[in-house]
Amino acid sequence: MQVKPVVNYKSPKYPDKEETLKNPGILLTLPERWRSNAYAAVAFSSLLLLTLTACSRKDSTGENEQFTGQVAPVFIHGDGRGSFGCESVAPPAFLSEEEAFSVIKEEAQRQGIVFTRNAPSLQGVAIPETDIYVLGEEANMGRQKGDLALDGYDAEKQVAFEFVSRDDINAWARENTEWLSVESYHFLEAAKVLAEGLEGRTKGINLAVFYDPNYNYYSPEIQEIIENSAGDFQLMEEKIKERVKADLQEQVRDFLNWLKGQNII
Amino acid sequence: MHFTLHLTNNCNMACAYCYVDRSNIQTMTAVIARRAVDLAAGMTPGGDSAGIVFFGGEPLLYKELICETIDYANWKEKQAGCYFHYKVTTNGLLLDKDFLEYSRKNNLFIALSHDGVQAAHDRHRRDTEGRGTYETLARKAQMLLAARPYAPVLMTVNPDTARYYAESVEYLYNLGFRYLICSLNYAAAWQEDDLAMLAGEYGKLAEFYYRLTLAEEKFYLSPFEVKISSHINRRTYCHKRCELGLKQISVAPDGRLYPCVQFVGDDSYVLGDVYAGVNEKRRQHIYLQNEREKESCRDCAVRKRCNHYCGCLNKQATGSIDLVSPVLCAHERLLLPIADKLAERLFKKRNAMFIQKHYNEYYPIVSLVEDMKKPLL
Ligand code: SF4
Repeated sequence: MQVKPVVNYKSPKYPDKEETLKNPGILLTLPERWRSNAYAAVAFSSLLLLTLTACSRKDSTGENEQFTGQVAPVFIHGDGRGSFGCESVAPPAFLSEEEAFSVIKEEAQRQGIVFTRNAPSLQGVAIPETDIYVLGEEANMGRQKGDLALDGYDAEKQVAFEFVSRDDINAWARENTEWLSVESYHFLEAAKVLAEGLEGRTKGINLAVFYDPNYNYYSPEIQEIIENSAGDFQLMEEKIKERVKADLQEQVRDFLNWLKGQNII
Repeated sequence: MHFTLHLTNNCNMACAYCYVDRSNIQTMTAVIARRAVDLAAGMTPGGDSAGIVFFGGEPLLYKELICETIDYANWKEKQAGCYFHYKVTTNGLLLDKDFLEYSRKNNLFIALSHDGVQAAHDRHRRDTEGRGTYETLARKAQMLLAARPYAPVLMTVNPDTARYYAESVEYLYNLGFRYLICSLNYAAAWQEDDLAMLAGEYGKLAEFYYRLTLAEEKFYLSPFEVKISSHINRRTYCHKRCELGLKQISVAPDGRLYPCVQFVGDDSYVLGDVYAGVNEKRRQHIYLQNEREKESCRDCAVRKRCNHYCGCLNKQATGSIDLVSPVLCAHERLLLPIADKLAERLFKKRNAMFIQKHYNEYYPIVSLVEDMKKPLL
């Protein structure tokens, strides 16, 4: 037996504490056993108040206190990984900006949010600095200052979104002297870095950062699709697209629930 | 800061996997125990509480020494304005009503070593005559839980008992234990087949955990809690892991100080003694040596969530704090995805118990209030 480093490990699909603190509404879910014990319920609500106050105090220490808009946590549905090049035997099924826009628009409309492409830009914010020629699972992601043109906006409700697409990752890529035949995309990681960088800088807009939910070629999700497609590349591509669109819908649904939890809609 | 007082290397049992060297029986004197308490008081920042842990061999062979030491520490609290809390780890054979009553009054936390169902427990945990201790312990465990319902149980899994892992955890849970700390004996000769068996057992345990959480039961099952926490608290998790020699010091029966329990008796890890105190340079050196990323794990995608940093485990398994045990590695690789899948299922259900337990930092307080106060009618 030998020590064997893990090469790839999927980011788990449950949030870390920081993500939860940005959306403390989730902490309101009360076990039945506490509901039926008045002492526990009282202790719970008083202590929760402390947590919520601590969160909002943290928020209000940002540089731009006058702006009340919030950045939602990144809702994780889909690995947010993908590659393009000789390694990828399955057809690339990245979501284009247009495809993502129509999925997000349709889902949001169900809750009365009408996104248009006429969205504002956020100037001088921290955006990810990506590296698409990176081997292994580490994203090698940094931060850089730049402008961000948002992808969708409902002016009336002051709600907007940014969708992290393959085009974005390429646009944010650092100057690279090395070149590999495989391009590697870390959408989820980039979305997290972006969401963090936009914190307190949304000019009063409540903002979601969605990401391309795609999967690595070796992921069980893609392997299952390959197995069930009998070598038909077109079918594979359709199935992968279907899968990632469903994941993106889930991201949007979580965002809408979050907006409700925050009393924004 | 914890001070683990190795009261003795003597024991009334002869467990097959015990690592304590009993070739030369030594017992701590009351004077050394008191000096250790002084040192703990001096090294713990004001306002914090220092932990005094009684360890062995079997510490209950010297109950009087435990009581004397606690008396002295209580006195010291008043004199020096410091605070202590106490814990003893025992094989349980010498637990009796009087000692349990004493532990309750003095807030001495008792952790019981127990390997689960009879087939697992009696395989290794035998008395000095070679007889299994399961039967005796069943009564003692009930007595312990009646007096101290929060007592944790420490279970060790060996290759030849891996197949009883899930059954043993359920057995201990049904006995009434709610804090189940399970560890592998990494020093044993694990084979691929044993690890495959272990993976199957973790699968069963994950179901068990899932069921209990859906039923809103309160419990702590260490393998899953630790791995789930390594993701949920990922920003703080790596800083809270083994900080060799910084958060805990082991005091040998002769008064010499070591960074952790596995090092006691190894001259190359002596940090000082209860009279001269800790050699800070030495302590820093050992701490930093352990903090360096292990060569074998540098490129691992899960290294931030892995136990390979634990110098004590490495020392136990490979004899060196820098060498990671392949068994530990294999165990981490098999446990992590099972724990994540379990957490994903519970989170997806937005299970209230799971969310409170893992995300609400006030969970232990609310839980305690609930236990102390019966529902209002
Ligand atoms: S012990 Fe194994 S799983 Fe853990 S960090 Fe090292 S290589 Fe990775």
